[in-house]
Amino acid sequence: MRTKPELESKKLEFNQSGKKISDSQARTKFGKQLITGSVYLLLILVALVVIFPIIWMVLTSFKLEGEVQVYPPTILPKAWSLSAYRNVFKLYPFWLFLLNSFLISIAVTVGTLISSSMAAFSLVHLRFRGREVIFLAILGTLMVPFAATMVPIFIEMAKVHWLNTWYPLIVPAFLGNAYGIFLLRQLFRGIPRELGEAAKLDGCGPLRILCFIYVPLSKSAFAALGVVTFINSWNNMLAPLIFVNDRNKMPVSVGLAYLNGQGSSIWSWIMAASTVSVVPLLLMYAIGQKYVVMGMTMTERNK
Amino acid sequence: MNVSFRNRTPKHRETLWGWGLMVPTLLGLFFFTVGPFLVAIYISFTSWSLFQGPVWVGLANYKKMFHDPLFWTSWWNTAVYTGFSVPLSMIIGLGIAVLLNRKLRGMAFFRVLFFAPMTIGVVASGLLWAWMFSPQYGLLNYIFHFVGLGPFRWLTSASTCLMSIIIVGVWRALGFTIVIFLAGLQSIPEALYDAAAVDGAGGWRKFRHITIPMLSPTIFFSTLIGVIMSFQVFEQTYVMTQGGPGNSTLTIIYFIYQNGFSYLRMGYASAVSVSFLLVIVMGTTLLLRFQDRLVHYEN
Amino acid sequence: MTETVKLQDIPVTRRHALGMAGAAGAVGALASFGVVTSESTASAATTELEVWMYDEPSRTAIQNAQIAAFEKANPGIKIKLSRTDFGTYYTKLAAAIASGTLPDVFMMSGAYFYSAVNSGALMDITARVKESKISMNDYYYAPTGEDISWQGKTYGIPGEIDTVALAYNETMFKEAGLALPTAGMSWATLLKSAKALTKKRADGKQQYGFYSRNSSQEAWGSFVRQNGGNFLNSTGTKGALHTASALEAIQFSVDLIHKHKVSPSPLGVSSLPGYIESTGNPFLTGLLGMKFQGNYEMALLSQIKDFKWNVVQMPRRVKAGGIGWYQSWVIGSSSKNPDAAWKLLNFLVTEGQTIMAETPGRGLTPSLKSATKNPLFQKSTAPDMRGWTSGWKDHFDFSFHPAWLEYQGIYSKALDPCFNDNANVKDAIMGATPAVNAALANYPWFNSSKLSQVGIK
Repeated sequence: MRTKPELESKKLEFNQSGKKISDSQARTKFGKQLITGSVYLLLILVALVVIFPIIWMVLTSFKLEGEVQVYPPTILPKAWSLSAYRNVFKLYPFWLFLLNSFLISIAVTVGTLISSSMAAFSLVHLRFRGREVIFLAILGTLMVPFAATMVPIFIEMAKVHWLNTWYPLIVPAFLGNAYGIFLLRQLFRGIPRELGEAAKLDGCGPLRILCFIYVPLSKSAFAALGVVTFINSWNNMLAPLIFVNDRNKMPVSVGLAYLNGQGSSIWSWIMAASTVSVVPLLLMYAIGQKYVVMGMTMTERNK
Repeated sequence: MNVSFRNRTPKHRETLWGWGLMVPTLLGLFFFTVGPFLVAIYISFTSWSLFQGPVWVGLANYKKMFHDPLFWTSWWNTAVYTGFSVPLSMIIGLGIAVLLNRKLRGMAFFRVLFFAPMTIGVVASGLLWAWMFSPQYGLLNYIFHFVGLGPFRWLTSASTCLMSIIIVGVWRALGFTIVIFLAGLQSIPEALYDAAAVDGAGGWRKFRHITIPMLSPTIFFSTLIGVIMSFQVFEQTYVMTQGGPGNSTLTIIYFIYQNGFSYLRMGYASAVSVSFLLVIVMGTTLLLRFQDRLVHYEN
Repeated sequence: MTETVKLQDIPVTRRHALGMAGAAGAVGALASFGVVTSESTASAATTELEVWMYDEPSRTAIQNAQIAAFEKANPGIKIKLSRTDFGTYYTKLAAAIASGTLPDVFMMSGAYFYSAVNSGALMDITARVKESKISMNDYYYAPTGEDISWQGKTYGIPGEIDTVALAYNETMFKEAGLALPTAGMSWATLLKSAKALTKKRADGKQQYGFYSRNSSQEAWGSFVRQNGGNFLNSTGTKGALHTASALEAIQFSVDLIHKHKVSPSPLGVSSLPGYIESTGNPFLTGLLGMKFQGNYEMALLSQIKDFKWNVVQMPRRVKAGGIGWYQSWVIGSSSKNPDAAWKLLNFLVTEGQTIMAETPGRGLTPSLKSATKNPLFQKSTAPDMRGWTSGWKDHFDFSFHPAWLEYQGIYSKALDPCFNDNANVKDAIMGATPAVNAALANYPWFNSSKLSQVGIK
């Protein structure tokens, strides 16, 4: 049985590189380099497979259509051209689509943050009968797919004359979001209860505790939820398709879907429209990828 | 209000605040989730085309459902989709996460790359993959041509269409599984591996007896989420194939949408929705029931 | 010690107030955007009409021109146009009916006409038509009154027609030294020309004489009609594709692919060089000699630059026809401005048709016969539009039904193996007929005898 100090020294020897190594360790070092090299290679290959379709989409959008429908396909455009963008913007008002997406997504994000934080706070900090039941009910709604309720909601919206407006898209966000509540509740639980208790003793009401203690301490959680809600709202196609009629009220997700069924598929145009709809999201991801990842997976990066 | 509120005990006030803050969520539950679902249950017992009012038909829709071959086709397609995309994305994701877990330079960069497809919406990814899948001019057949395979028919043939959709699904979900597994891997204490090394365990045995059991909560969580989301696949098929060719990519949610929105058979669509929820609830309950047996939790 | 808790007790610093006000304002502004864009801008003096039309790029210019001309001629009426993507148009219309928010004037298709009129959603315009200058004789319409009449009353007027004609690649015919197709030619001539055109070209590409496929609208559906058959029986209560004439026609369509080999198979089409899958129209590749072509794809066809093409009336066996239908204009029964609505409807089917004929970029064919003779309409296209409009009596016939989408789908899916792999047509149709009849039986109130011959003035 080896003792612990021996284990430690063995670990140290392995972790060092290039210092005082014996023959056998030299062989192992080469082996290690081989492994490292192949790991990198494998990762690069998979990364290429994962990221190349997106690059391909962007490259196609800058080609002239004559260059797109050719075999064998070319990677880089022979002649970089913005004609696809010009044409697709002429065909459909994509500027308007983008603006609509932006407005809808901002409203949905604001609503989700407000309502989810209220509910999450209530579930975490306040004690009242039925708390657990409500939480289970909220979680349960995650299993109910939109397709199951979209028919009655559709009729509901028709009866209150909210069809062909943005209300069916925005109002539910202000009325709680199961995922948001779940996420914030997880992260609110990490805040020490004593802080809230101390504030209560000082005479703070629950609203003040929420606004001035929990919210400031959960900035990253809010950022994560906010970013993810924005992205999901931006990408949502089914709800706007169903609830909105007029073309000039449509967000870009539906605008893209229009192109798909137009009968003449000019791929460079379709890729141009897709690129346009995706760039804001990728920008958001590039700037705040930590929050996007946190929001979507509820994990935080350790290193 | 002032006086009566002051007279309430703190516990009462806390209860009032508790429910009060929940009011928006409760409204949302009533109007947008639970309420509509209860209505859907009611509609499932009627025949309703929207043009006329609902007509009570009892269990007729459910009987029709069981005898509808398209209903079973949709479930089959959904099951195949789930059965392939969830394990595939988990296995590949775990493999990549293991690679990324080494303390090498640039791992963060790879992580960022792998997660990117999750930010792109279903429509955009559907369109760009439809382009890649193009039998004639698409990139995929060109690449396969180099290795001497293909050309494949991808989205244009009933036999390969579902597989194509699965590929897109795995591509999008990969970032999620990688990140989840990475977090899981990083939470496994080094000490366990060291102890195993002391006992002479090699890489594979360490993986089987330490990594997998320690990861089992993550695997379980990932499977549960994966299954629930995969069962609801719809937008990919709507954008890429519209359920075709020949109903090969007709998934259960698409079937509901088609019956409700295209054929205006609200009653029938609701019946299928109710059965869908039952299946999900049963499946989730089953998985949770077996959680103790499958998952190893640290005490 | 208990304490009152009131929101105003919370000290609100200026920054917080600004922040909250800003957020509330932004949110309010955003939320109301939806209201503003859907609210009417009509003042008390003007009447506002809510109008629903299909949303397709080929229609936009025409729709805009029609509305502009109408508003100019009727300053007291303002049009609030709602364009809806065709795929969701009828669902949304049905929801509007269910919630009592019908538009004033809207476009109606035969597929939903029966359900709509049976639910009381359409306004009876019999009297108004009688009083007006409108005569059904001036229009292309179905003699059975499909899409315009129900139980003796008139509910709609045709707005545009969608029919099928025989399109042919003129360049290809001339190169082969063949006589161009003529109106009402026989199936034998069709087959002969197709065979002569099916060959491998000098550039190595395979050329086909005809395009046969599993399409109830164009290919086999038209053949069925030419052979005197139909989709449904005379009362519209049972499927009729199992009759001898229909089966013969469908078999002919399948044989063109598998027996005579003058048409590419469905699987083979996707490998035609130059074929763009989502167009669904391989005629554009220039490798097809003939095709049954609908006029509703004009926008697509106008992109053809590499070869000359034209259309001619469909071949004849019993009838020289194909499938045809139209979209009609109707008035919502709950319209609060029936007079204004009628004015608009009247305009759309008279002057509006001329506008349709004269506006460039049209992919639409007017239903008013005189409009199709408009010289601008005739001149602005390469093909001779008469191919689509002549013989119209043989096109339109009753095939719509409240369960139209469904029963068509059942027949089409059943025929997939026949077109793909030369499965037995009779077996496929016989196997599908019970399901078709079951689908039709979901609407026991429907019977084609309730359609009536439209009164001819």
